[in-house]
Amino acid sequence: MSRKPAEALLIENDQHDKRMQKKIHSQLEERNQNRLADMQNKRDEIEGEKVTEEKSDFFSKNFKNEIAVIEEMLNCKELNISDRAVVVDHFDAITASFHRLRKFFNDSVMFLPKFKSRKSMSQLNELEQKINAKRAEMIPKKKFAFKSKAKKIESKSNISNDPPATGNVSKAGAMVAKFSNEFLVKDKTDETIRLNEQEINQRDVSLSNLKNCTIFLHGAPGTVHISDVEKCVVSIGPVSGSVFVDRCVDSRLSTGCQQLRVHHTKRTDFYLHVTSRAIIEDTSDIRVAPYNTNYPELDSHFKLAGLDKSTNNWDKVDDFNWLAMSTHSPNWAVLEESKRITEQT
Amino acid sequence: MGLLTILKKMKQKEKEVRILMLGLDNAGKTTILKKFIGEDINTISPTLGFNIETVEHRGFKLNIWDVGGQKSLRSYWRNYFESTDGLIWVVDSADKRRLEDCINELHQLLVEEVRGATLLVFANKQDLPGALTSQEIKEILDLEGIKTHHWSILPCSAVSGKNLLEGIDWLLDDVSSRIFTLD
Repeated sequence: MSRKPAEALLIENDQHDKRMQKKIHSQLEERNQNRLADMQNKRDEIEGEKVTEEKSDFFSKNFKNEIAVIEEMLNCKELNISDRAVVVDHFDAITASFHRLRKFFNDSVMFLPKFKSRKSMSQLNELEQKINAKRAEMIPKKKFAFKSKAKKIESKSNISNDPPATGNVSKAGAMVAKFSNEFLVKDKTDETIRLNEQEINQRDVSLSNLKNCTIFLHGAPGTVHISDVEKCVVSIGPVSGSVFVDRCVDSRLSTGCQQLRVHHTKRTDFYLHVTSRAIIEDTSDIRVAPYNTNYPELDSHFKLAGLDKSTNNWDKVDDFNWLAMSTHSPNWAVLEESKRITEQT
Repeated sequence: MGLLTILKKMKQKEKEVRILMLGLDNAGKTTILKKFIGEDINTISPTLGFNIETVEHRGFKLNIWDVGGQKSLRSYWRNYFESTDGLIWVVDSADKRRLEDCINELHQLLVEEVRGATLLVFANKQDLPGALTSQEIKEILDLEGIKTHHWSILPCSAVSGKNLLEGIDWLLDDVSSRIFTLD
């Protein structure tokens, strides 16, 4: 390497300094630009807020006006009350205006201050109630609102709970009676009941209000409903859909199914073949064990029901009253092997 | 350009729609959801809590919330009402004994909350032999009496997938006509 003359070195240094100067200069310039941009941004933001304010005012004014208009319409002045069609049209127009107003509100909600949006919301609700009340008054026969209807049904259903004396069964109740095509076993005490596959295959089976009974359902039902059962032994073949158990006490139940749902049940043992899951709700002192029903046609019934014989989640129970995943629910346990019974057929 | 316009444009661009799916337990909510997004429906068990799925459909981003229908979970439904654009009410058309429950829950829901949301009723399980038709469900639920919401009812089968797409499409059309149109 040849040595550079001192002068050249000096020039080089000088150039270096100039470069540095330039660099610093440009950095400063850049920083200044950033600062200006920031300021501009902030100014924009403030202006943006101003726009919001203006919009909010704009909203208030229009909202108020619209409400006034609708209320004016609600007064029904200059309306030919005797002509039902006119009244109906009038109310349809009111409803339409109301929907428009609500849409306007919905559109504006995102820039309104919280307080204002809540206030407007309650104003809207109030107005809606007013409209509904007025509609009920002006168009009396037309069914219009849920509230009153829902109440009606509720009161009716209260009546239908202690049936037929009043003869006042709710619409839904009547429909249920009309469309039921299930196989029913109910109100039995101290009996042994056997149903065969011709009777129950792919049908809905319902067992209700039974005491001290032994029941064999050797077939493949579509669904099974069990309710109000006490001290019974129930043995069911594979059910293609779900088994629903409600208010069952001191009993033993053996079933194959896709899904088991247990409600309001106490001190009952379940022998299960479940391909998806068993769930319990408002239930306690439940024990589970693997499926223990056996009879000659069982395999063919499994095929008919479409249940997979190799998948059995009998010991995976979800308790809807016990949402803590880390600890085991106190409402159910696995039945010890020594205590398990094989169902007699 | 005001802030509102910017926000609206943003929402419009993303076209996000939030759909809440409710109904009694065993109505088939999760099955509908899974079928719609094309997942396996044979291993579904009662929903302990909720499922959320996000799907792109027709350029919309659908956030579908499927909340468990067990009695003990129903009191939590209200936690999901906020900013719901569309409500899907699923009915087990073959479960006649609990129709009264179904009526009461739905009516309570509509009276109490979910104001302004579009309502789609799925009369599910039409594949089952004892299922009521959607016309019958419509009468039983007294849907004609609903003036507070845009509603529609469709018979469907989550198992076969029949009418699921049609239902969602109707819901989207209705929601988008309310939300995404700039006057």
